[in-house]
Amino acid sequence: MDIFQNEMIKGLTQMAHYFAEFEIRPVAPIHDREETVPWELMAKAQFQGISQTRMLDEAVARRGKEARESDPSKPKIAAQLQVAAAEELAWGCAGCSLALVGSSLAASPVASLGSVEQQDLFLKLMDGLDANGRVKTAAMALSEPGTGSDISGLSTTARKEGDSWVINGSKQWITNGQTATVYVVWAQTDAALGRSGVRGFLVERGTPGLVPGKKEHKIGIRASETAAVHFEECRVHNDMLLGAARPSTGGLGDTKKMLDSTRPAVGAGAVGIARAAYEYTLEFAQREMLRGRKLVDHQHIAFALAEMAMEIEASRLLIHKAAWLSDNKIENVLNASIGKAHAANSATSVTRRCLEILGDAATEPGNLVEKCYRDAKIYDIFEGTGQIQRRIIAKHLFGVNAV
Amino acid sequence: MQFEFTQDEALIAETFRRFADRNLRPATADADREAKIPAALLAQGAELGLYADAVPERAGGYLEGAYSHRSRALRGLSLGWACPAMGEVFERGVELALLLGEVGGFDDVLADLATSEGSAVLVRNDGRLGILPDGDSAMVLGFFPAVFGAAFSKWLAIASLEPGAEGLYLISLADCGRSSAVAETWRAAGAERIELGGTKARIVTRDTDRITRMLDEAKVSLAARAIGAARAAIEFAEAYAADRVQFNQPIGQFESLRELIDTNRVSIEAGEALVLRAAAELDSKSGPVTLASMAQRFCADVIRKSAVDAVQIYGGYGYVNEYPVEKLMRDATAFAVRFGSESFERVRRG
Repeated sequence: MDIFQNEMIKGLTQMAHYFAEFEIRPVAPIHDREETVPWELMAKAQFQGISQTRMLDEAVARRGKEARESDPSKPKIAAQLQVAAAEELAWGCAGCSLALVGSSLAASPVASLGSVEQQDLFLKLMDGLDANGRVKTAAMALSEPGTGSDISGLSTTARKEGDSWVINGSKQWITNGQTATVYVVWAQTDAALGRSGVRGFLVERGTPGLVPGKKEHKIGIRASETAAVHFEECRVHNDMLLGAARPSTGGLGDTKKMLDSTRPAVGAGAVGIARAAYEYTLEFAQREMLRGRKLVDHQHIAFALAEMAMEIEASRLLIHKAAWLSDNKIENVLNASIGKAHAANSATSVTRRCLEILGDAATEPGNLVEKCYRDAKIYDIFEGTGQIQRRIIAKHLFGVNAV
Repeated sequence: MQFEFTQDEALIAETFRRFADRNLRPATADADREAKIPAALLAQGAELGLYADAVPERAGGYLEGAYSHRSRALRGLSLGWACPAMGEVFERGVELALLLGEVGGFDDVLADLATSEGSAVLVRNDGRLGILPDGDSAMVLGFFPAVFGAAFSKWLAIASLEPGAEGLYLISLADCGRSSAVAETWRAAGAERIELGGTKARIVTRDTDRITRMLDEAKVSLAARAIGAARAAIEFAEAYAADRVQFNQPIGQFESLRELIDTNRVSIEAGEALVLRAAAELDSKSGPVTLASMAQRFCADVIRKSAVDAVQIYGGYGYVNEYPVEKLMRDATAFAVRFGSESFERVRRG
């Protein structure tokens, strides 16, 4: 594994950490308290090369460069770079980090399924600033009120009318759902086809019938906008159907593959949260005295912190293994699920344990560990709940689909 | 140990169950959002005797004879079930009233404690306060980052078991530096940051056993509310799991979620039994009791796990404030640290 020696990874980690410490950390409590999107931070990030659409940028950059890409002497570390950066940014603030990279959820299917024209259109739409002078964002609209874990039951439909598709339905828990410039919406095109009838469409903001819905008030990751999106007789041209040129598409399977591919980076975010809470608590324990000794000199505190370090290190290694497999074109679905589920568990338990050590200091407004505790929980829910990860793991390891 | 409720206990349990269900529950979401308990609710609580029942008759309260900690635990189960923040506010001042009633004097304070507006908050010196005794009084220096219930109260009682600074110190909140410290936990409970800059305190007692006993009483009440809140979380989750269909069946039929619910239910029943036993121990002897700290520790763990698991069962809906479990997950954290961090408790025991 390259992660601990590779100079590029080390360099990127340092850069991301610097950004997290000096740009994200100072504003994070404000966006958490006020539930606001960190637009200024996003502009700074974009200026510093933290792209909203990295996967798509790379896909575009790769066009016609396949020969160079296959050069065996060049290390393949894209996924490892991604998880290293994701951990650092989430260390700064999980909500802000999701605001910074949330658009990549929508860019990812465009990168893998979109035609050259669709990819160019997507990047063109994302270029520059929106009508409010803000960084543009994109939204991947998959989940629905009735379909959380079970994405096979999508009820949003797209019906063909001439050279258009007409989309109807409601989407829920959509990152950037209220303010996105461009949406990738998943809809059932032919109920008779079941899962393979599900297809993705590019929908530009302002398209009649696209109605951004209510913003959710969440327990954590508050700097990341989550909202409903409604489609009411929303008509898009046939050109907006992703993967239309392919003779056969994976339908819903495509979205599942995308979730598989983003899982290591999501897990890395959970590691970042756990590490932030752990480091804060360690510093507290090294500073505060209890009965004449530093907290950290008490065995039950020292062991608790050691336990946390074990959990964090284990999660990080599992996630980097999944990323390394991905970089080396080895199937990583099992390892991605193991890594994500482990990291989500660790983040929940580490942040909770930190709260106990801090005591009433953690109930102060704006306390970092209390925020980490709230932020961490979503990692066991989104991008496949802990239960879904265990289903995937069980299926891969011993072939059962237990209910 | 008696497991049957007496007639009085059953009546109290039923009265507060109804109060929690009809009066408090419908108001909890707004109270959390606005960080405020409606005055009418506080008045209704007072009408039910929530403050006066621990104040002796001579000082204008209802207490004659022995106070029943079992009854208090039973009502705590309902108050915590409705809203942990409201529970904290409604249960303020009881331990101080019982202590002042015992030591005599302090009738001016006791008269306040019989009312909702005059009540007291009890905090614990975790070793970071500077306390300079001076005869019957003391100067106190330091701060408390977030004292729940302070915005509604007139008095601050500081329990200190630190070597050289043992005592129960009583301070008028009017003499303290105060600023709002409403954060994410128990938002409706009127938390304030309290600054003490050499503030003068009256010393109520220096008897460490009596102070420990006072903290024990508070811990059992806290543990009861923790169990009530945990029960609420799992009830919500169970009802949701019965309705929510994924993969063509109610998610509550998946064994993993069934197990998650069952594990929590077992813990809740065990916690409730421990709370009632600890309360019975308080009723049966006068000094410190062994089960109070155990009850707080166990029940704080139960609520933390139940609330987090309830959010997990709700999935994405659990993470947003339209559903009640999000609030319970935020509220779960204070139970463990209400009387000092767990570390502090462990070292003290050692």
